[in-house]
Amino acid sequence: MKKLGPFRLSNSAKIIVLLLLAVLVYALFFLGPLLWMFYNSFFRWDPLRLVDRSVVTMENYLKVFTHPLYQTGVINSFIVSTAATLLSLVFNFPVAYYMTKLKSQARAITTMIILTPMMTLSLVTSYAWLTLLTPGGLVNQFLMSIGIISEPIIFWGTRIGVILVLVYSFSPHMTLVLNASLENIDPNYIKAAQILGANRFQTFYKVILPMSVPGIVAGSILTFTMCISSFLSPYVMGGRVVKLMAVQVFDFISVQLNFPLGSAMAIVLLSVVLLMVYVIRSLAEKKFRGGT
Amino acid sequence: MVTVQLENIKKSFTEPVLKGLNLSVKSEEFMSLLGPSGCGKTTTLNIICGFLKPDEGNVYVNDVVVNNLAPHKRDIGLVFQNYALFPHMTVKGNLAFGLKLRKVNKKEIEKMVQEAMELIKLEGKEDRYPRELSGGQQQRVALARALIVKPQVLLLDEPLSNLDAKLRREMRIELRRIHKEVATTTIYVTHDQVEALSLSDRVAIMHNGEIEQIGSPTEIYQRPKTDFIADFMGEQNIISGKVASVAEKETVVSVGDLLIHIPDSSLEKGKEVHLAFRKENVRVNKKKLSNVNVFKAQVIYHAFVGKYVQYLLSLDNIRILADVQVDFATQIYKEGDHVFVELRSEDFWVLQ
Amino acid sequence: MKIKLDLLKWYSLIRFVVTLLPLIIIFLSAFSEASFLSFPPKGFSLKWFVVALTDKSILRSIQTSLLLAAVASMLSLLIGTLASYALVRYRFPGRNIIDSFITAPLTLPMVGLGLGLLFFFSSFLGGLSFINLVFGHVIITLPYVVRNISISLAAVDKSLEQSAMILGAGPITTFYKVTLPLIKPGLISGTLMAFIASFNNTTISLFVASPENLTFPVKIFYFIEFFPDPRMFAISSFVIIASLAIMLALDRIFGLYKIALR
Repeated sequence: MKKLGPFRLSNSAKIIVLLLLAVLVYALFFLGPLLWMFYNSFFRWDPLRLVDRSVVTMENYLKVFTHPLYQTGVINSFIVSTAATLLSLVFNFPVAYYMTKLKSQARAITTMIILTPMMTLSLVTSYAWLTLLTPGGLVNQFLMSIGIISEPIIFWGTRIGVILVLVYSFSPHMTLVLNASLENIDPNYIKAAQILGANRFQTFYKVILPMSVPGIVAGSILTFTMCISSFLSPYVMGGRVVKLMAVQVFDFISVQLNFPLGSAMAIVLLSVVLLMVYVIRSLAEKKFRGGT
Repeated sequence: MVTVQLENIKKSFTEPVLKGLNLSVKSEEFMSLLGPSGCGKTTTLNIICGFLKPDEGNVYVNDVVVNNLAPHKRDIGLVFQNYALFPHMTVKGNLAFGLKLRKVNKKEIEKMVQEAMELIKLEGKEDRYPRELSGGQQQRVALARALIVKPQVLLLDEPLSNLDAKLRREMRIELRRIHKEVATTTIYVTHDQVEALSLSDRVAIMHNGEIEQIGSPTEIYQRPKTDFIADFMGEQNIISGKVASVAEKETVVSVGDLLIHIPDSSLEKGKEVHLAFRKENVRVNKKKLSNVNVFKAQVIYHAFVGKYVQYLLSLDNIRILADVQVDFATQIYKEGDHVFVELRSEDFWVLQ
Repeated sequence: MKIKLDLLKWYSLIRFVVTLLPLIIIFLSAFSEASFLSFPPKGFSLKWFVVALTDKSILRSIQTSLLLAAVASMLSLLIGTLASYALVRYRFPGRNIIDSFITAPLTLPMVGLGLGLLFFFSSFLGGLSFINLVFGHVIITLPYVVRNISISLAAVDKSLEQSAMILGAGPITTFYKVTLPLIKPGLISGTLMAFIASFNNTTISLFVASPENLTFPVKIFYFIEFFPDPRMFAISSFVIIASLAIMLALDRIFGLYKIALR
């Protein structure tokens, strides 16, 4: 073993002092609550004491996956998040690409516009969408007047409505990630393709699209995790009618106070997101190792 | 007088970097630490500064052990490769930084800054920010900032490597002039042998965490002690052979069929040796002019490089390089020509 | 070929308008005369602004949110600066774990975190106090501060600090005179982003804000649940304009584009 000189000792002392507060705060207000929730998800609910810790049981987890109500929640969450992610990708890819063509001034302004859903209360913007999407609202009127539909589409309390607000709320994330990856494509590749005789269309499909695949994957996974975690916009648009995991977690405390079952549901949700984050991480590392 | 002394310095990270380094730098001396990247020269510098602590050994500055002294108490001047000027301070702010910490009064600071600006010939640029100066000017400010506090030692870490070739030449002359003027003991870390040779009083060659040779620039250039140094100091010819006979004033080494006469007499018969000779000492003739150290050769390649012709020659199976000075009268040999290569016995030396 | 780029341009412009549409609706509906929300708004009046600005409970909730955001972002600034320094300047075992832990709260579902905090506070740390609410927010504001400061700090070359030391500055003087001025942009942008994140945070507060500490977003949440009328749009207009002003300031000072990608 190497002996610890006075410098090494003081270095580790310094590190401990610098990190002490952060570690303390995270232990008490992040790790503690998560572990406490995890621990209690293995017990029964008790109407008087909230949690009955006399028997260890898996029944909360079983319930999440087998009870029709919660099963619907899990399935809906996946359907809605997947659809919102795909739509977000399709809607935002052209914008992200367009932004790479802009000069710095125009880019600053468009970035600002793109970021607005992130910087404003999602509750309020979602509600604003709701006023537009009522059966007699502007959107339905417009669609009926140009003859695309004959009956108004119902958005409140439907999966379509939830998907639309999710797309709106998490477009900034998708757009920024896509834009960053498109920005990283060396313009020389595009020039090379054009010199070799590719037209704009071919250049796009053969060069730009394949080279932005890492961005597409990263943006999609990020958007998916944001969607599946999201509770506010789906709640405004879907109420308790569209059953979703995140909304049900909130329900357990606001309506039933069933902490153990709510915890189990939250743990399932957390695990899904953690898995996604892990996938992003390993993809990112792969990219770094590959070099650009 | 010795200003800086390193005594048996050892330092390991995951692998040993310094393996018992000894070095003493005399006062007012300009000493270069020369070596390829990864040889431990930057670690040595960090240990002198106190940014790193040696695992073993002692660092002395003016005969005082400074091992446990924090960097800010060591009274050392340091110039980094990237200059490390404080970007949020003007030139004057940078120069005054160390003086203020030493509680020098305002009037005195003003005067010293002026003197420093004169020393580096940048009068009138006191209120510029570093980013408004050219690379060479930033370099000089960095030097002035290190010198203004009158440190016991000045350490320079590859200070010229970010400059272009022309500026580098100018700055070498500047560095030499400033060193003459202020006469501060200087340790100059570099991987560039031209810088080390042209600037220093003495050069220490570092290799694998040890000092392999230390001496004046001429010694280092003309008699590199080892294969590594010979190779590092530029393209030299190195051939290996066996000692064939030892006489009082002359030793004969056989290299294949060739017999080479050298003046060294300290060798044992039968020993494997590496002989080195500089390519500019090789003479190339059409005819055989002597009997000793003259070998038959054939031109493999030649290139005309202005003042001289560079030949790649084949002597049996041995390939050697020769730089031959040319004027109008000199004959230039072409590929395939048969020639005679001649060397004086004192042009050879034995590598360790 | 020209047509394709034009198509892209027009599509993008429509997309930008759609992004801003909710804001336009919020601003216009705030002037509605009706007591329910609809678009286009019925009539024109300022009455909902009067209602919103005289509603003491709304003003109180804004006050609570401002105080909460200020305390949470200042605490994050202090804790985050120290932590970033350790994470950027030193290599030590467990560094990567701590590094990924610090950003974790932003990637995990806020409802899970909120439920965990509520559950935890009901058993430990003395219930739903204001200070517990503050730390619940610090968990989601600290990542912004650490990310911003870490990036600024990594851009400050170690040789600058070493130069200061060798010129005679001790560790504290070095930090104060050299490091701190150079990471100031990161400090400011990180703290502002933390402030906005805390002010806008709805979910954590929904779980752990007691009735005495009702924050502005939670107040809005209850409005939507129980009386969705134009007053919440009226008051939101003010808040949105204030946030836009901060965004503009951020853009002016540091270039929003760069910040957004952190």
